[in-house]
Amino acid sequence: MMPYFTYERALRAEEVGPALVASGGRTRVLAGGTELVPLLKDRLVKADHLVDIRGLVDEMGGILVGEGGGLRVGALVTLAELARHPLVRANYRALAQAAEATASPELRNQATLGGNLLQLTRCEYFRSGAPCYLNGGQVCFAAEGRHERHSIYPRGTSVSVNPSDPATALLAADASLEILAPSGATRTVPIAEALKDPDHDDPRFLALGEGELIVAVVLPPGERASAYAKAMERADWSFALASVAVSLAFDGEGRVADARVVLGGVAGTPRREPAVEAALTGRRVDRAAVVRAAQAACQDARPLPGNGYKVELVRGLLRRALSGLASGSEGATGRASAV
Amino acid sequence: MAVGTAERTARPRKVPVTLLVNGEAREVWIEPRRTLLDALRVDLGLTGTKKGCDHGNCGACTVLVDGVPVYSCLELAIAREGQAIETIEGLSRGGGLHPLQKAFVEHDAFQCGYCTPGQIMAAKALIDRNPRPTPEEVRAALVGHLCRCGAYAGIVEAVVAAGLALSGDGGEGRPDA
Repeated sequence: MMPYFTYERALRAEEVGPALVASGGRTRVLAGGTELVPLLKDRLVKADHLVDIRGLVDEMGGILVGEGGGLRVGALVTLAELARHPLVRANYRALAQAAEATASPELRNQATLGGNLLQLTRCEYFRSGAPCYLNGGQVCFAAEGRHERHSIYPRGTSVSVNPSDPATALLAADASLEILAPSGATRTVPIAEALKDPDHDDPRFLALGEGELIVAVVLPPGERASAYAKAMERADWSFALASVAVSLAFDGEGRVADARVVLGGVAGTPRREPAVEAALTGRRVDRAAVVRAAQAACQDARPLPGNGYKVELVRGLLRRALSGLASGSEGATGRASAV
Repeated sequence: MAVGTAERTARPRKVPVTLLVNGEAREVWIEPRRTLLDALRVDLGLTGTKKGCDHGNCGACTVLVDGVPVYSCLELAIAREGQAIETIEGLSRGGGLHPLQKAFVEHDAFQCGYCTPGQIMAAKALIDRNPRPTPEEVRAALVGHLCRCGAYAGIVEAVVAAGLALSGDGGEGRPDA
């Protein structure tokens, strides 16, 4: 049973931030509910008032073509809408694939992109209410306990991994977040700067100030081919044990002019892999290049005793994703259908 | 509070909410924390929709909201006021079983039956928009539904068969299994 709370529907996005600040943390934002409702049931977050923002579609919904190309994806867009949108599928295929690889069809119908980026760790110690760093305690139980699904780049206080599939694809796409401050000012921040490890002070995976709302995700223009590959402990409807998002720009000769390679499910933030990017840049994506690039991944990983398997998992996922983008293949045009 | 709308409740107490369930407007007095699942089962007595995990991990509570399948355990009833909610009770026509329900019986698509209402509602959303799904499409649409009896093969067969029955095809031209 959830705690008692009152409920209202927000009428304007500008009014939400000041209400959050004034409440001193007791007011929570409700959108899709797939994350907040279980957290309330399990008493992992507190709230005595919910502001439902799902009706703010004029300001925070829809997928629009931006100035100079690119797309502006409203934070309230559901993962289902994102996965099936023709322009996302055509030009940001890794993002469409990541959205479609998330959870189940029902959850994708309910969950919003903004909420997906703000979900908390799936660590079972945290979710069971154990007094860990992220629950206000002074220990990370996973570091010394069960951590098969946790970080192979442990740093800071928690060894949790960012559970969001879209976050990994968005970093590969060089996306930015449009953030509305309680003052009414809007700022646009590269997602690379907004992503952070969860910690004692703020268990979220994004650096947002008090009362700040994600209004939209902005995808830059550009002809790129991209792919997302994800490994789970069952065939579907599970969080990533590891994932990769690859985004390539080709020159006129079919060689890689620019590569962005991001690993998910292996660290507190989705993680760019410069060694893999360097191994691809200036080359045609052929079999030899794929094998060499994949082998360059995770050279600096420091797995915990129970999760060293993730290193080989990442390399296999990279081979899979890159093979689909091989020079001259349909995938390399970036126009192939998603998944 | 700056956001104030008429819908803000002064303190946590029951408020009137009108839910549009299976084509009928039903008023319930509920706390804002009431999930759609509990409002259906407890306040409206519509116990066909099942509570399994209550955390969005099993699919037993699936209902349609404006034709789209959602897990009702994750929805606040108050937030879905006025939207068209469809539950398993809304399927039978004139006292008879819906073709999906018949097909589930005929194809051994359940044993204990606890996941069945959720499976059928998700299957209904599928065949409403794609009357002749392939087995692969059925599996993709129903991946968010656990069946601990393991009736999956029968479920896929049943949904394919029901789609054919509903689109007036007695089995001819059935997609390959």
